[in-house]
Amino acid sequence: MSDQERSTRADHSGLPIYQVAAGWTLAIGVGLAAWQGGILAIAAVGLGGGFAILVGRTHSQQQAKATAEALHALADPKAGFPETDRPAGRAPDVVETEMHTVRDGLRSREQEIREAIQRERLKTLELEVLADRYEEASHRLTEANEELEAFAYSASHDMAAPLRVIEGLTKIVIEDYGHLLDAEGMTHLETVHGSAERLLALLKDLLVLSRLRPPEREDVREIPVADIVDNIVRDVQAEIPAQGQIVIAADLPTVQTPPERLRQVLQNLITNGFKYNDSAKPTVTINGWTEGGVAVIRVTDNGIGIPEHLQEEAFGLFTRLHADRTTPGTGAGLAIARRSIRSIGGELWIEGSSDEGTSFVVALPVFFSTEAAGIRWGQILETH
Amino acid sequence: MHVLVIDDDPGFSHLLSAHLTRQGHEVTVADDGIQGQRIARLVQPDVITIDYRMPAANGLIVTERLQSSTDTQNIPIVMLTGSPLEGLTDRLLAAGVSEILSKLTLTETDLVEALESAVERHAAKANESEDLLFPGDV
Repeated sequence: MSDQERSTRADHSGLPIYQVAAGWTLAIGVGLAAWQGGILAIAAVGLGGGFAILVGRTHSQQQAKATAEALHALADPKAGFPETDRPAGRAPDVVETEMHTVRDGLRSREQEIREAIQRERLKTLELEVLADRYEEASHRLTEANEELEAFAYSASHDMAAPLRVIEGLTKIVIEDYGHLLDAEGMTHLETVHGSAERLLALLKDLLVLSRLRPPEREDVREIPVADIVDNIVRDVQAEIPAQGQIVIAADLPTVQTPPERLRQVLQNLITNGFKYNDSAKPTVTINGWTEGGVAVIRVTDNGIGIPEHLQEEAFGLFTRLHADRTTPGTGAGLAIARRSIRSIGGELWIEGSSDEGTSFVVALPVFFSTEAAGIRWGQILETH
Repeated sequence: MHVLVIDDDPGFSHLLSAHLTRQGHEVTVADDGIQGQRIARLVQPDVITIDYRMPAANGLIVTERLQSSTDTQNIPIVMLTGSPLEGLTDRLLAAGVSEILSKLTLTETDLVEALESAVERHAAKANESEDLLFPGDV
């Protein structure tokens, strides 16, 4: 800055200075604007999280330019406004006082901003530490889940053969030596056999659950749901009561999926529809549609129904909602079904509440993606 | 039919014996693979049932040994396993196992049917091989 400019700047006696606004900006600049009362000198100063616009009024362009620079130098802490730089005794007191006020305000604002930045940095650090902890916990959870599954698998497997021995030999004793026992002895033995059979069924389900993994890409193919349903209907004829019927809608969707997994789930829902059904004419209806890349398949029965407050519980592992022990089943069927559908990127739930039956909804992406199945698989590991 | 049961679980061998004897078949039991090979050579059973998971030599190794020995290579082998042998099935079939059955879901009827059909298929295959080897004799 030359001496000439300094002296020019010092000539602006009585100029009003306004701090106009504050907000986030980094722009620093000066400018002039013509106004009916003279020429406005404008300096915009950015400072961390705030900025100030300083305005001075002058009567000539040259004065205005100098004023703007003076304002800029005043407000910009980097440019500074060293006391020694200012020609002594020539700057008017009023301007100087107002400039000091603005400068003090800006310095205090700067301090606030620095403190705010420091607080933000600390928060970021805390977040990073939390993220690390979360990742570690998530990793441990995945490991624990895998270990648990390996344990479930190994335990089920190791228990299976001895249980099969108990079941098989009690059956042989009942059949070949039953006549040597009195009624009470026979009841005891039949109870042992029944329990062994039930435990075997539980182990079988546990084995299925512990071995359920995301599908291999090569198992995935495009298949009309109608083909899967037709195939199921042929296989479950024996489980459909004499008066029972299956109604299949004509326009079932086509999906890319591992057919065997979808088949197992639909078969489970269809046979359940007849198993828990005391209607005079047990009916299972299958319909479906596609909406927004999602294939929806609905299996509705006119059976005993599941009250709304028990609908989520129905998907729990080994949950039997009906006290009736004569109806076969381990209670793992729906847990396996939901997990199975989630493993292929879909979802399974019960829709609505009805005393006249249950409506199961299977939603699957029309186009299979390993990523989607993988994400769902992650959720399965976390939620079970 | 004379069946050799090779299984290190005495309970399961007992169950298999009970199932087979009540169906009128003769049973010999071996507690491990080494003993199984020796007994197979000695008694020349019609069919062998073998467990997969056994100490020292597993079902696959014992099958390969039985199939590579001239004394025992013509005896059909049915594997009974407590664990699903995904990925191993092809190797087991290539090694000479006729059929793989799960211990978990096995029934007496399934067992007997599987053993009988293994014996029949093996006999048919043996005849076929003889036809190929000695066409002039037929």
